[in-house]
Amino acid sequence: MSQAEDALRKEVRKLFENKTIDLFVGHEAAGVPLKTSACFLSSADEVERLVWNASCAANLAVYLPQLFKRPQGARGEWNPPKVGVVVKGCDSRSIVGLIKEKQIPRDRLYLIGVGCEGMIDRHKAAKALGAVGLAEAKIDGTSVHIIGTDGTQRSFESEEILADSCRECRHRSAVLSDVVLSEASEQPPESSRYTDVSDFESQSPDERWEYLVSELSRCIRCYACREACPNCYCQECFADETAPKWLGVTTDLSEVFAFHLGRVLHQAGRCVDCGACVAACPQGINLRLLNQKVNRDVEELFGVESNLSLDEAEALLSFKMEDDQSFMTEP
Amino acid sequence: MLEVTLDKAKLQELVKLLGADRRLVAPVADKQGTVFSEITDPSLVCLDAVNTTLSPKEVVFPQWETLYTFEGDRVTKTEPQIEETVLFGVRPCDARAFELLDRVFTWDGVNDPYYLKRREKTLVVALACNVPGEACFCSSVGGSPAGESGADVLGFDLGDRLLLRALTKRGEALLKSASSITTPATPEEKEAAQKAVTEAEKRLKPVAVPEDLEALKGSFDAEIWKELGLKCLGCGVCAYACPTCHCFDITDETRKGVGRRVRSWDTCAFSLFTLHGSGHNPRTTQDARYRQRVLHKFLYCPENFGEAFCVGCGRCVTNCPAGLDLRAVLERLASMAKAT
Amino acid sequence: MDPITNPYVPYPVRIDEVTIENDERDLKTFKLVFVDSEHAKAFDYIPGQFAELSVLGKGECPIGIASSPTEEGYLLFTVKKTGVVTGELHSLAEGKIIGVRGPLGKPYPIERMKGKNVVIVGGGFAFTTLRALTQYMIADANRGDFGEITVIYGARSPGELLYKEELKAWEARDDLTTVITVDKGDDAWKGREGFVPTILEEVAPSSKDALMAVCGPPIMIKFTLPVIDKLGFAPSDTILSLEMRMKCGIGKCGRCNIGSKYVCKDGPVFTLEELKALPAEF
Repeated sequence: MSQAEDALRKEVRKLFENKTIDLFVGHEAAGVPLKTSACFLSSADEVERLVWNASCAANLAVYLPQLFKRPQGARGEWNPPKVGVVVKGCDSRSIVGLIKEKQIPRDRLYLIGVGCEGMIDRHKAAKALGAVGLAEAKIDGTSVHIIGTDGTQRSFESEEILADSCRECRHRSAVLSDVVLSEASEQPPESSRYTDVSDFESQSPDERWEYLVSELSRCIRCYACREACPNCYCQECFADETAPKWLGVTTDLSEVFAFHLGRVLHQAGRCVDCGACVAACPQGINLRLLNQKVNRDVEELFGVESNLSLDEAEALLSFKMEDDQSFMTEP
Repeated sequence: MLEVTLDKAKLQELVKLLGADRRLVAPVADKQGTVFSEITDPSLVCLDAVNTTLSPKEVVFPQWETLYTFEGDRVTKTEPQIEETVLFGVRPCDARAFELLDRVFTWDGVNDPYYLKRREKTLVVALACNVPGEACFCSSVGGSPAGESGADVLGFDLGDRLLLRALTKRGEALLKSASSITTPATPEEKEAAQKAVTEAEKRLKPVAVPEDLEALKGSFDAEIWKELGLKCLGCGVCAYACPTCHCFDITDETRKGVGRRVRSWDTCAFSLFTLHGSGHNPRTTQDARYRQRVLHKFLYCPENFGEAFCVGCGRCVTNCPAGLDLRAVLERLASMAKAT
Repeated sequence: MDPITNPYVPYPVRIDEVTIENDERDLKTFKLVFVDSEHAKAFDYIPGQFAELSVLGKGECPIGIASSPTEEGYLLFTVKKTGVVTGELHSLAEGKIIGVRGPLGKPYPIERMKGKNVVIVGGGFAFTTLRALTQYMIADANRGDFGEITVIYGARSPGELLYKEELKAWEARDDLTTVITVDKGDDAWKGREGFVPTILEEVAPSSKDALMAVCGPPIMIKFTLPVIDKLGFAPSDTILSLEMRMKCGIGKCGRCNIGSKYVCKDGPVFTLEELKALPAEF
């Protein structure tokens, strides 16, 4: 167990003992290597379940809104719980967004900020190992030692199998917290940002179309991207509406594009590039690309990076007189 | 039944032969893993992975298909065009799943013509597993790394050779058509195949599966579902990847009066799955929905068909974005049953 | 693949007549006639069954068959305007062609009811299949098979009562007892006033050699079941009909199950005893 993990468990134990929280949302080991699952602890006795390592990729913010909804059948007074959460940079930014959009109450949250050195993309690890599955994995500092189901062993530097969104991330420490256990040690340079988008933009329209088609044609409409995303909390998604019926249910390219483009536009100025959608997608679709493109557009047009602060309104949910209007065309 | 061996170097030739006058679907290396794809080039076949990301149920039960087309108020076409297909390189768990799906699509004598036509036209050439996948547990749910249900031919990987065993008349005809590149299997080869199976079975980690149906019924109101409901994101990955999940939606698509009625994959995990027109929803929480998924597979299907609708392929475990592990859930349910 | 062999393809039917059943005008009874007589022959149904009404381009909805097979030459469906499909259906005029898939589901246990007294209790617009059952039992060819028949039917107000013509005809007959009630009458209403469970308790039909068929909105069922129990009807002799979100209607798409039972093929008719054995998930 690492120092960070130990410190986290101690802090959570303290929070329960002082009755600062009723519930704690963290990560626990899942049944397969290099994967974690969200855990919901309700007492100090359970803190040993908590883990903190480079496989804690999940964005825990997605689990929060449900905790503040009045349970079905609850009668009379119901007080929302005081919920503690361990947050990386991206988790905390999603939480900033959810607070601003009134999905979760700031005063019922206790955020433990931990610095993140980047998370492992387990698909990359599996692919690097060949096509066999992962039987065992051990994260040892910045190294990952993996044993495949056929017995093959390999070691990687976590850098090699880092998730794409982590490569460019410049917000590795929590932007909102009640206590900070650790800060991230380093940050990639400014020039590392939006490299995928720049590469994409340098291609011809035909090449770009081909790329998008080759990626999106693999979509099976499972909605894992949507459900894993903390920003997608709509009770009825536009893709599911029947009156009016905006799009169909098939995997026809036009439907798939309509869904993904619609979702990208709904994320504009809100997506924090946590990579949850990419990690959730069973087909390995590069879902980040268009989100990042739109995020960069929002930054360039309105000077705002998604959800870094509670005090800054989301770009597309607010208006300033000095907003860039160069994209408006003459009627 | 007929057993022959094929030099692995001749694998592409075999695939080419099988796919000569048929549509060929086989595992192919993809960006993120291995997927079943329709191919014409045999060199693309990739049998390295223990199993593919998604199951091959697409071949008999596609993600979506047109039930019929219509124009105005008239149905115009109901005949789907289905080709003879050979599904190559399927693992025994997925092949067994076809037999389970057969039960649903012929239940009570009501036959689903779309599924049955595809099924009839699909030849299944399975490949036994020497090594279990990440989360495999086929032997705990009545299967085996060399199970024979649902396949026409079963292959065994002997290193430099494949032993191919015909399981049905169709399978036998298939192998006979490849007689130019195969030789009759020797007793040593047959023994090697058997040994591979025994070794593979040993490597599987057993999972305690709840079999006491009465006890499982009693778990309906247990606390376990609340905890799992909190974790479950309600996406469709487990059901879509699962070889035995078969829930579907029927929707209409029209443009200027011409259109089609399609069926497409759906899942009880989605929040809108059971939503009534009146606004009432019998399953409003993710607890109830997750419970439905597990009990459907391990209680309701055994009650209706005598068998659990799970072949232990482990895809729901490896693909779940929320890190839920069905094996752990089953173990807990089994131990809860013991305690009662 | 034609509708007779392909269970997903509807039979084309013509809307012969549309009757607006209530003051709010959101309940309409559609009289449907088969376009093809072969289809009419194949559609051999028993009261209690339902069909999927199909509106090409919009979808399908499962609706109980309100007519009895003894009413030859047509089918009756009473539909409440709720969503996309029913909304479109309500906008269609006489002469239009729609589709019907069925008959689906398990019917009322007619054979069990023969030689017995039958009590029918219905509320609101759930009365549809009970109309089918009543019409079936009182048809000349069938009346002799059944003992005493009692019908208790109530709605929120006089304007909400379905099948006003049939109700009048039933009240005029002496081979069945018809008790109609409304929660609240109006100036013109001369009949009973009271909730269905209360009226049932007042009428107090005997449970001896009798079966009870009850259908209504959840709130009515909730208060009626204790009365039925009090009157001495066993759960195995209390028959209900359920509603559930459906798509295929033939037990394949997995949507309408309660436990291991599918409402579309193991129901929609269930005895109370059968329901009690199912998980409380409806």
